[in-house]
Amino acid sequence: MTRTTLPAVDLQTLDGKPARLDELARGRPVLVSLWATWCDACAREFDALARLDEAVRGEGAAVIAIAVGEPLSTVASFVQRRALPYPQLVDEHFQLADAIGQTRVPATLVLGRDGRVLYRGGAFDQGALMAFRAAVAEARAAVVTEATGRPDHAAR
Amino acid sequence: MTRRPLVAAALLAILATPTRTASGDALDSAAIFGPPQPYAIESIKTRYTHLDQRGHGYQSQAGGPPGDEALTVEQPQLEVIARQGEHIVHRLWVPLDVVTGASPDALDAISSASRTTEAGSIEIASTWQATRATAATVHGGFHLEENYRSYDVGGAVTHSFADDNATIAVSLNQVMDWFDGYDIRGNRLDRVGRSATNVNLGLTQLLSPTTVGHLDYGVTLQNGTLGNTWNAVPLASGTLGGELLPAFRQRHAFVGRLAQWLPWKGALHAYYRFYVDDWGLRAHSAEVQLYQRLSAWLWLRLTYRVHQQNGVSFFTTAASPTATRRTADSDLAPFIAQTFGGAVGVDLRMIPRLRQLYADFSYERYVRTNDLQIDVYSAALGVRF
Repeated sequence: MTRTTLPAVDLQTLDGKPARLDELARGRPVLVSLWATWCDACAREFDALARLDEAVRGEGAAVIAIAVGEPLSTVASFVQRRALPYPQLVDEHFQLADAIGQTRVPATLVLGRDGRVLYRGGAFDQGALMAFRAAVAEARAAVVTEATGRPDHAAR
Repeated sequence: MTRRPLVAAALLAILATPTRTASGDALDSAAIFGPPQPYAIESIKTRYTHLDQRGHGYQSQAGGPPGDEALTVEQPQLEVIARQGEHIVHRLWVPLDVVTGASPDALDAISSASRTTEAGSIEIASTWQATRATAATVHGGFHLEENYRSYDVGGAVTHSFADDNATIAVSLNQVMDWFDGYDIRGNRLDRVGRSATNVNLGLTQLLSPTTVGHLDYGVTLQNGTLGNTWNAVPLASGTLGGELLPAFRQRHAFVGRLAQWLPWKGALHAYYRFYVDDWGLRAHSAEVQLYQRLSAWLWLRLTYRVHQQNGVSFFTTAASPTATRRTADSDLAPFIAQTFGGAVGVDLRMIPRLRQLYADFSYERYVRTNDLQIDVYSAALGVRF
């Protein structure tokens, strides 16, 4: 398991606004999916990521997809055409991918609520889901501890 | 002091419902990935290939020496990929061959018995993804032809490491052939056989975010009747004799591949192979292939390949009648071969009703300096489920 802190890299939202993953992910566990429009293996993940997004949206966790190495317009039209429901960022010039040493798509990261990379893997699979589930549980315990001054299990 | 437990209880009440949902059933594997399917067909692909060969070779008696090597092959084939549970994938491949036209073999030259030859194969490969990094594949199959039977079996293991940036692969394959032997006049001799044992070792390495390199070494040991028994060899006396080949052959192949992603939605593949065996044959092959996606539904592939070989040490077109090794097989002669090809693929996923269909069409022309030309036309239609 790799534990590194996310670098501060400028990305773009689909409407061209600057965005940073470390800021969007701060304070909540996030599953990050790196993908590309030409990638068939990435396309096979769309449905599962959409279901995961629906499951955790508004629950203090998030799914964020980052399209790597392609122009914003290409990604935006693809996302619109495929009606992908989860948040999207664009890393057109491999800045984030290079900074975290991620060399292929699909790739999946799980970030803890403190911004650390808790999991790095290829396609979104059982291993990634287990890591994300653990991150969500850990975040929940941390929130309870902060609120009560006691660990989650003691509160129960 | 007394307010703190109340605040905590309220917070817990707020936190409890959503977090239980997020970390419980809603994040269940089946809820996210869908229920596991015990058996599902992932794709079916059909391909039809037409091969048109023209040329002359000394091994054929058809048309007089050097003999006519004209033939055509019609080959329909079917590929089915099925998933069994989460970790096992099966691939079934069934090619059928119908060889028509003037066959170069002695049977046609003398009796026309196999002027049209039907052949078929069934190959099954099953891959078990043991862990995220390790997969094992076993395969087996058989080939049926009029007077020919071939069985093959093999296995391979691949393992990824260094964050999937490198993959090593080892494979072992065994082929056994049995067929009827005939002399150059078409007289049946006896049942003969041969075996081939092959070991391959490969390393695939990610060299940069957009470059993949691959190295492979393979050794093949063949034993038995290594020719087809009815090949003719011109003798110095002006008559024809049978081919005389060693009963053992040790073959080595070294392969290097490079795949470079191009920023304009293209990819460049380069390939080099060095081959050497103990029959004295040395060969160099190089290939470049440019893959270009032209639009979301259309791609193009261009291929150029060149092959040069020096021929086996006992290749001859005027053999001594007392030679213990002799062949005039044009495949074992010195030659340079070039292949020019192109393919167009159409992905129909942009059309909702045809989203799962794809098709491709390809053409290749193979030209050899020792008088052999082959045109290969191929069309495929596939469906992904």
